[in-house]
Amino acid sequence: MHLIDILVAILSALFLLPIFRFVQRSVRAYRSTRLLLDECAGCCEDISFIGCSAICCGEYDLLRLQRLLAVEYDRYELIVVVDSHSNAALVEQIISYFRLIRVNPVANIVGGEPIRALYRSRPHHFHRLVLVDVRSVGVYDDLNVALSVASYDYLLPLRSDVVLDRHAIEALMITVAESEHSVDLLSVASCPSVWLFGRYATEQAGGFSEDILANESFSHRITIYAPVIYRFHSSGNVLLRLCLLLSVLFFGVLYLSLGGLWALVVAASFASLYAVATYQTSLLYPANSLKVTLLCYFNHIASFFYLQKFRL
Amino acid sequence: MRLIIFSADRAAAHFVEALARHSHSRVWWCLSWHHLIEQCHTVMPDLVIILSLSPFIEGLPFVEDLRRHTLGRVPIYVIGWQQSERAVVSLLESGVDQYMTFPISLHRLYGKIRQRAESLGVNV
Amino acid sequence: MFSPMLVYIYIVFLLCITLVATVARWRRRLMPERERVLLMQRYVTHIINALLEHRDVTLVVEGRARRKLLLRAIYLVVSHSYATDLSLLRGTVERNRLDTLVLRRIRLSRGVRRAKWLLWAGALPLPRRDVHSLRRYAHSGDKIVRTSALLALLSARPSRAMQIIGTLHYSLSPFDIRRVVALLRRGVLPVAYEPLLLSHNTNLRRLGLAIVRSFGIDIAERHLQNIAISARNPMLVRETLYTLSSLGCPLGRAKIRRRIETLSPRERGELCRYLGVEGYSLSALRTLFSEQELSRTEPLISSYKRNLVCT
Repeated sequence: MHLIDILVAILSALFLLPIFRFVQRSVRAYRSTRLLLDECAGCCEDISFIGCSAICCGEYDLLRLQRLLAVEYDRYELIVVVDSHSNAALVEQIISYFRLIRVNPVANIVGGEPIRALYRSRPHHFHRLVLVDVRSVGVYDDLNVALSVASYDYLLPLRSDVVLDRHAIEALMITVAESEHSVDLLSVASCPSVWLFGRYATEQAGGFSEDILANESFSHRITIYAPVIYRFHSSGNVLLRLCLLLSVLFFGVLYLSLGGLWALVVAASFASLYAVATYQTSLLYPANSLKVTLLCYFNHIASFFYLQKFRL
Repeated sequence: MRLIIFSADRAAAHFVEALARHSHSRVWWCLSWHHLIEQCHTVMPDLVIILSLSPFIEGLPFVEDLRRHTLGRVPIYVIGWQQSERAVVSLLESGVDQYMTFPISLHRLYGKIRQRAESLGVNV
Repeated sequence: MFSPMLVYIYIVFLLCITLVATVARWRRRLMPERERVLLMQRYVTHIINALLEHRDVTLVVEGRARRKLLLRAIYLVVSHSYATDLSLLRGTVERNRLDTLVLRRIRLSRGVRRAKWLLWAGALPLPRRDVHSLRRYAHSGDKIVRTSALLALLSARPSRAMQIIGTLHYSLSPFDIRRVVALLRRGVLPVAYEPLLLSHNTNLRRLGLAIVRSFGIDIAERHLQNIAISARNPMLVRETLYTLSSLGCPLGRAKIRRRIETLSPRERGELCRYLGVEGYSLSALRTLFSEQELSRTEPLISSYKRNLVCT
């Protein structure tokens, strides 16, 4: 057996083993979360007094805000950071729809633009919505402004293409509460761009920035494997499957024509990856499409080699 | 009596549906808000039971739409797992008639449904 | 030259993956969804009719899939209702051998599946010897299994609840305690908070605190203040302070102020913010925290208000 064949076989195994472990953890976490939150309803009202402030920057879609407000966990709020000077009509629409009133503003804790206006809702059923009007200079400044306004100890910045499962917040809070130490940072394996930040560590780190994940304030980090937060289904799965199939065929043909076990090993690895990703996607539906599932795998592998940047 | 149950959780809907059928009511189950409004327009229910707090806390003009489509003041009962004072006040503020929490006494819930049926002159 | 062994290993591996996926999908389709829903509805209706009329449930079903569905229906009714008379279910449990089914499945399964079967066992009126066989699962290394086993034991032997919880060798997590309180809400366990608060066992005390919070028992204030002042466990002290504040009790006593001073800066900041959100006034907070600590919370409290007169 050639040395390169052995090397390729070992690299393939090292590449695939963490992925299989990842899938095993995801499936187990999915099953246990389903059991705890579906079968044990009524236990999630207020866990260990911890709360979560979800943050959206530049979100004006009413339907999206409604979906984000439909969280039954009691200690939860949604902070929406907008710029009324660039989108006055849309901001007015949000204010009138949710019956918001202007309240006394809050001074910034960790920098960022001064708050022009702060709105809360008078009706009780919208009390979890907070609207912050600030001049938008960048997403990290907007997040720092939201940090100043937040009432709870954990912050969840959300991208516009991210979907929360029905019991996502409960699952996150249970994971935080079950941890032996105070959690500074929680990453979501099914959605690599989403993190739950501990407020104290974030303030110690001087606020949100691209390099915040490298800050030593976040000493205690954990990961939730249950697919409670995921990205929208993206089209193009057919193209992706075709690419994977072509890759398998290409390496298979290469093996047959030129010899060399390495080509077959790589083809088999692609095929294994495809089979595992398809299995996970069908089992954990609707959490993630095949494309996003594969991205999660690559992200999981990449996380061993370098620390990610926080990008929203 | 015509009764509509709105619940995303099929299991909880089974539970309430069984109680309703014991009172010889006709029961419809709706999974989404749009389906509920559509059914209300078609069925003209005598009672609507909602098994979740989400419709009330996400900003939908739920009760107004419901009353508009049923062309009358149909009672709306909500049954949920939330116990907090804030949740209860939110629901009452939204115009809900009754809020009950799970776990619920079978006899109590059956009694409420029966009471409504008897108020309509239906023999249970 | 190459070894064909590696090729065979890869092919076998791929076949195994495909087989697992196929079996998983096939198992899901053993009973069509529509039939499952209709049967479930029928069983739930039958059980509820019997319970409302206070007569024995007389369902008899054939086949493992239907027996499992009946078990789910029983669990559904019991978990959603209060003070269900489980003795009315005894006949149907014996006739359908549900106890045998559930105990065998608990023995043969692992992990989350075992936890699920344990939860369902908690909804059945099991004979004493079967309850005894569940005890070993309460010491499992798998957290979800041991918590589900604990709940099943508490459901089966509610009179010995304090003893069962008091002899646990591990600390219950906040979510586990909420699950135990959920049993209380079903009327399975008594709501006797006082012996729990007076106990020296941390798990029992935390359960007592959870009961006080859950039911809003104001008259427990004196006990809570004693725990906050005298308890050695910092986690217990913190939880007691939060419980006192959730009841809206004053925290101005000198001994309680001294206890708050022993918390870490992070914990003090979190408590200060919690008290602000709960509605404590600034003057009340000024007696407990420094101006620097209040500088973060004061604007937050102010943001819940609106100045009517602009100067």
